[in-house]
Amino acid sequence: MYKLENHKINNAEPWSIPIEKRMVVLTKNSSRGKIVYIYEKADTSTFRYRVYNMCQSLSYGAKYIGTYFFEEELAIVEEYLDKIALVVIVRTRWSLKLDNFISRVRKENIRILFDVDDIVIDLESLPLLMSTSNVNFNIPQNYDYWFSYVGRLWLTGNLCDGFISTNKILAENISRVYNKSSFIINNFLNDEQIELSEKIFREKIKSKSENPFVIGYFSGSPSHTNDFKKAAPEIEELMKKYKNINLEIVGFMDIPVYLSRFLSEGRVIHSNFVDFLTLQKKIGEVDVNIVPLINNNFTNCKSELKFFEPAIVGTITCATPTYVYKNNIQNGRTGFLCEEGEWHSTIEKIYKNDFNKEMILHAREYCLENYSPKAQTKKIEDILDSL
Amino acid sequence: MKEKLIGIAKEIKRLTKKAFFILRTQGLRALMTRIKNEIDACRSRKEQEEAPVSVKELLYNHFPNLQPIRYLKVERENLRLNIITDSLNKDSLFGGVATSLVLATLFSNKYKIPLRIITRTAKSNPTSYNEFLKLFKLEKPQEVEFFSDFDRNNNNNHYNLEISDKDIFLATSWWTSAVVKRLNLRKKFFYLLQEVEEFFYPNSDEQFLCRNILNDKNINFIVNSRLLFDYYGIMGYGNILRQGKFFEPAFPEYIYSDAEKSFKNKSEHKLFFYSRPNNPRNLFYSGLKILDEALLRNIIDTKDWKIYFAGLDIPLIKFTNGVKPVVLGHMDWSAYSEFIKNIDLGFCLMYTPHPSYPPLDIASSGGVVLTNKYANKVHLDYSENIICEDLNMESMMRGFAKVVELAKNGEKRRENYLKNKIERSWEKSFQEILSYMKDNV
Repeated sequence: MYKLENHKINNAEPWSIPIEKRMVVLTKNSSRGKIVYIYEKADTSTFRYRVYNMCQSLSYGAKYIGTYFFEEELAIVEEYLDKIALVVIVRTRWSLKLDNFISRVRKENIRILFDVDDIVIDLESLPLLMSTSNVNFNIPQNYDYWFSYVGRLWLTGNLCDGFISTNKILAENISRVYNKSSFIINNFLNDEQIELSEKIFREKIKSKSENPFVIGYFSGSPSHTNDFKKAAPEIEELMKKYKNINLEIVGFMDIPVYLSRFLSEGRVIHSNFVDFLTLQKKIGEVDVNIVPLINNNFTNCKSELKFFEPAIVGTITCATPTYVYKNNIQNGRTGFLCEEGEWHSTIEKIYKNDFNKEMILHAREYCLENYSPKAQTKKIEDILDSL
Repeated sequence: MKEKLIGIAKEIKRLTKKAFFILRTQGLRALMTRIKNEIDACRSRKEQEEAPVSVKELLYNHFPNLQPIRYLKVERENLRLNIITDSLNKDSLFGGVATSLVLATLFSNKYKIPLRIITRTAKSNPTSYNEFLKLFKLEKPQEVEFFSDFDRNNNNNHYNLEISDKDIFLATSWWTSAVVKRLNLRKKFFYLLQEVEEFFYPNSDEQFLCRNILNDKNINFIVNSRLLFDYYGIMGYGNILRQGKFFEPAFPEYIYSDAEKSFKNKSEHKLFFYSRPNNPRNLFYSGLKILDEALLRNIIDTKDWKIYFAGLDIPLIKFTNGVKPVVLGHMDWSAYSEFIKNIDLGFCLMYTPHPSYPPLDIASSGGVVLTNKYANKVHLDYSENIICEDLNMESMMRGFAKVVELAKNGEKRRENYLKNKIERSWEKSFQEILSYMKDNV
């Protein structure tokens, strides 16, 4: 593992801006088209990637400017509809308030797009979502929650004019559900991540990995319990074989019973969810980042963020070849693609330093080139121009 | 007490973290709902503990290997072969499990059909499967997936096996067949039958349930060996004869072959007793008695012979004549292969009509074998180096006299070895079975 210094994090929630400041985008005279993103409530996952990062990317261009509002602020936004060029509703569940807002926007002939980053828009796909995410089917309330969640999202989508998704498979699913095509804007990094990751990367170049060798799994949510099991038996074998291999899990996870003995030995370190910048440091500290996934229609709709975030701090990724990883990781050049049965030998290679170290640079270069907010601006502008 | 308190503290810490996470990501209302659900679940568990157990629950718990696999129907475009077995752990990858994996792998490779390996009593073990492929020199199928529900009774496992009507199932025992019956969305499935599975039990529920499966009209049986196939016919299982097909197992030369010294004169010969006290059909105790008698009568002269036991859970013993066997315990494939080719004489009992693998392992590695007759198993045509005798003391003594002489006669032994009718290639063994499977998909 790499022992990194604690870089000062000034603001782990840069999107927490008072409404009056966000409103300036609408009130200030500007020739740029004003794009308003609507989201339920700020969070560090979908909101960050699909709203905050989008606005940041648009700020690098000359054509559009983005700002965002939350569901509770819709009434205020309604007062400024004449200033808005386009509304993008991001994964927001239908409510009467939202329905009314959409009606007002539509009356002003403003186009509305629905942005979604998971296959959470149709009831047909819901059982697979619940099963993959390890939702307990024996609790009736879970059905109520998930059917309501997906049903409400479907209705929001159904009220919109067009769609934005994160990859081709998700776009195909959207087209199946709504019979409409979808624009694709992949998830990407933001400047704060890139800036901090640059420091982390420079520090890593100067240092050497020390004992123990740490495998990192950055789960994000308890819904990845089943995904993790795709690599867990082989991780266990590696940890049995090499006493100086540890596993660090960040985020919630039900650790498989056969790994729990390593937990008591202190070789499985399970830490809590952290803010997105501290996460970059944690990812930077491990020797390899693993992204095991169940390979099905639900997971194939997910984005490649677990590749580009580690890449910019110089951490190698081993991932299940779902659609996005197969398309973005060049196996053996910018990372490793691992089917079941390949995790053990691949991680063992990394452990034994038996791989081309240029991989770290190739991956980093590829990700900075393709996943920075600046790199995305033209693509987003082109989509907005086409509307 | 201290450990208990540490455990409680850890649990509190875990739950607090979880609560904080839910609070942060889903809000207070979601947290309160989760807490209420947990309390309700606890209350319900307590009530259940006090209440009489339901028949359904009792049956569920009594037959753990019949517990259904939770599944979710999905759409799928192409066929997939699913093999369902207990475990893929290294110590399970001998004999029947290895045979079933060879069949599944060859089918998958020949028809370019993805393979899913389902295990029920142990977690998925892809590494073990990879090692198996190397050992059997098999190509890895283009797509292999693994699924295990060994932790199905753990409250945190809610994942369901995704299946469609494109999923073909290959069961490997009556209990996995029973599970497949409740899972399969096609009319029929395959059952690789490698033993008289009724013999695993006394007259009992299990035996009754096993017979029900063997009489099932919607199963395509693939039977290991002609002897076993014929036995089922004799016992009146017309459906197995009508719907089934048999194959003879293979013993590839890269695992089973003679050693440099196999047929040469030597001062010390090696006798191997296939010893499995926990597998009743291998007649460990009867075998011991027979071996003891052969030693007492000096049919096996310990000046010429060294005795080896190999198997699991073998007690430390000494024979009446004071000789102690060398106990080797369980071996991995490479150790077993090396060991078996240096054996001059194998004593392998199998109280079923199946020839069992060890006699064929030894005969295909240049050794001589004494085994027992059972029902229609009266002679093993595979090799003249295998002598099959009645299971009574005098027959067995005569048998030992024959095999001892044969084992020491290098020339005759070699001649018999070269005339072996033991299949060496799994591809050839399964050639007809693969077509039969394809035709019945």
